Amino acid sequence: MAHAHHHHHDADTYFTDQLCMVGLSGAFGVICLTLFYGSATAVEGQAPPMLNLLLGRQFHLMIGLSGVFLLGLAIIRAVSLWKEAAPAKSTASLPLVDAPHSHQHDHDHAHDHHHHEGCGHDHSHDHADHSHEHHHAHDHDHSHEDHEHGWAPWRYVVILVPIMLFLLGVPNKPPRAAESNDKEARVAQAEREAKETARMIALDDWSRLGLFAALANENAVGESTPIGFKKLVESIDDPAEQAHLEGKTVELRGQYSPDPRDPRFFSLVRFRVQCCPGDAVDKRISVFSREPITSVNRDAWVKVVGKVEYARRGDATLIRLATPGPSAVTPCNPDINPYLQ
Amino acid sequence: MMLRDAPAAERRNFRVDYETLLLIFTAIIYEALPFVVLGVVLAGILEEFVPQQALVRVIPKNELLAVALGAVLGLVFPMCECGIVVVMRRLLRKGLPLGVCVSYMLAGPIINVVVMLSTYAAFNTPDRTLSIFGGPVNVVALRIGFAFIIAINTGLLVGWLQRRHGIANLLAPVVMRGLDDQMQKTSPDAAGPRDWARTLKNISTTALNDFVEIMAFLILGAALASGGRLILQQSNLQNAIESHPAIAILMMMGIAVLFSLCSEADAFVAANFATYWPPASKLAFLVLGPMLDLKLYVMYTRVFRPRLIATIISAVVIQVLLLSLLAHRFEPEITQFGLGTQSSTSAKSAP
Repeated sequence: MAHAHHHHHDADTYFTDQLCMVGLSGAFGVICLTLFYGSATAVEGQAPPMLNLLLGRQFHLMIGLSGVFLLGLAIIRAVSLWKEAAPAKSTASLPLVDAPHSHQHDHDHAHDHHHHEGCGHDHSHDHADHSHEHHHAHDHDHSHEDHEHGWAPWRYVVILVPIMLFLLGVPNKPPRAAESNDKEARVAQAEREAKETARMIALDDWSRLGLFAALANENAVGESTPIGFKKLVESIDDPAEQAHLEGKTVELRGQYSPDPRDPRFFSLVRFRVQCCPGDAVDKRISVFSREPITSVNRDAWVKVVGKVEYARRGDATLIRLATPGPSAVTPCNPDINPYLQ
Repeated sequence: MMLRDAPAAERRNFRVDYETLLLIFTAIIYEALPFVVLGVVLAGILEEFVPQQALVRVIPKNELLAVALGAVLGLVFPMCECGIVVVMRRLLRKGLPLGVCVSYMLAGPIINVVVMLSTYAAFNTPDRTLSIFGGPVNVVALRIGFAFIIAINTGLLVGWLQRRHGIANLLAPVVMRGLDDQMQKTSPDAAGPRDWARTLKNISTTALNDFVEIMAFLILGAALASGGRLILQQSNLQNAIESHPAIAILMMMGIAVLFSLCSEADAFVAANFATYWPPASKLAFLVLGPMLDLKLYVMYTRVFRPRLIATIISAVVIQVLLLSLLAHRFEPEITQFGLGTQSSTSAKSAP
């Protein structure tokens, strides 16, 4: 009779173990469903929902289904655990019965002490006598026998980490872009300006006025059409698109990435993601502004209105937007799909 | 007015700070999660419905054929590398020989339809600088071919190891215990008419046990992988890389292990590495990544003993290195031979 509680220890950790398992799996199931719901119901103008930050669109449905499965499995297991637990309480008061049976997990009892270090049970009892009662109220499922019967709480602590992160609402920002460092653009612009100055010096006053007017006209920004970032990037390899877009005034949205060496130069950055931010590649469109931009924060989402300009350099085609100044660079809301796919 | 040197949309990586680290860490976990769930559900079903030792009757007796079959099983059971360890463990319990299991585990994440398509898509760009080995079809063929060879060789090696040392010395104790009990108990179909409540209960128990176990190791692996990114600085190794292709190959292999990318996405990362990386190094990245990375290593420790892990790792690493060096040596020949052409008209005409 004195050894009956030995099996109780096993039962205690077994149930705690199983409950943790059910709880954590269920928690992940709920998280997946919440992520999916947040992404499915997002509306333009809000901050990007977490799932959009984490995964490409092709995974969203899979996350939803995973949530359904996990929650379903957790519920099924919880129900069966409940049924297992109920009879155990009622047979606890039964008289001892010495039943011969084969233990496939007999060897576990020899080192049960190690497993119970974490719990505050009293271990001061004699283990020498193993002829003790087993109430098989919970039938040990042999399907999980290739797992230790031990109580390994570290696993649960580790699994709690992403659950905690989710509850904290992180992550909530897309990757940060490296700063711009477009030496070619700066050099090219310097050369251009030198040429312009040289031209102007050579002219008389009236012609100079005329030239100013012509330049102002060129640099003025009229009606703009919004253009997709991806479309603009892809136009680099598409001569037909280039002919179509050259000189057009467009409105482009992206993250602001300044060039610390010259405040007139910056890039608009967006990340192209295939599966997750781990494989993100940054795509940039260079922008030149006649007047320096000083009051925009790095990585902020901005809307830029400017003219599309292409240039050839050897085998490569280069693109940039030319914009007049801070008036054409305005903050905007991030896309609810922060990445390009 | 023509601009002379306006820049193109450059390809650069983002700067890795702690917030981005957290983003990558979390993303790896949730990207893998559906495949883990798929794997554990599949494992639970396999456990419950497939009779003991059934697979022994199905696979060929010839070891080479069996291992080769294992390598292409991914075409039938496509699975991300995260879920594959779970499924492989169950197949092992159902009588699939260890060598065949290892072969499936290594090649499964590469020789499957999804990965083949994504690899093709990643290297099929009009931008000629991204194309290697003469076109995306070649890249896919090389990736699959190398994976096949490596999986077979490693599978055969593991089979030999098993005959020499016995399976008990190769598998982790928990797995061995499970195997022993498996052998002793009677087949579940002999238990009488199927009780659906009991079936569901068994499946859910198996699945949730596996889920919790795998997730713990996956999360650790994700932490290692994202931390590794922080450490990996963009140093100026361009000269060393260009002049020593072997170093480039080894470095790319190291990066593959560190990044622990999903095999469906790694092609895009490889394709976008700068052009001074020799094509053979990108191929090494693509072949080694799905077979061995931090995520996988942590999961291996749960199933295999150190001797077997060391064997698998050395066999895979050495073969990837050798095959990549070969690919580098024969790159011009491969590029010309070309099983398929690029999508746009290529400037690479006759030599």
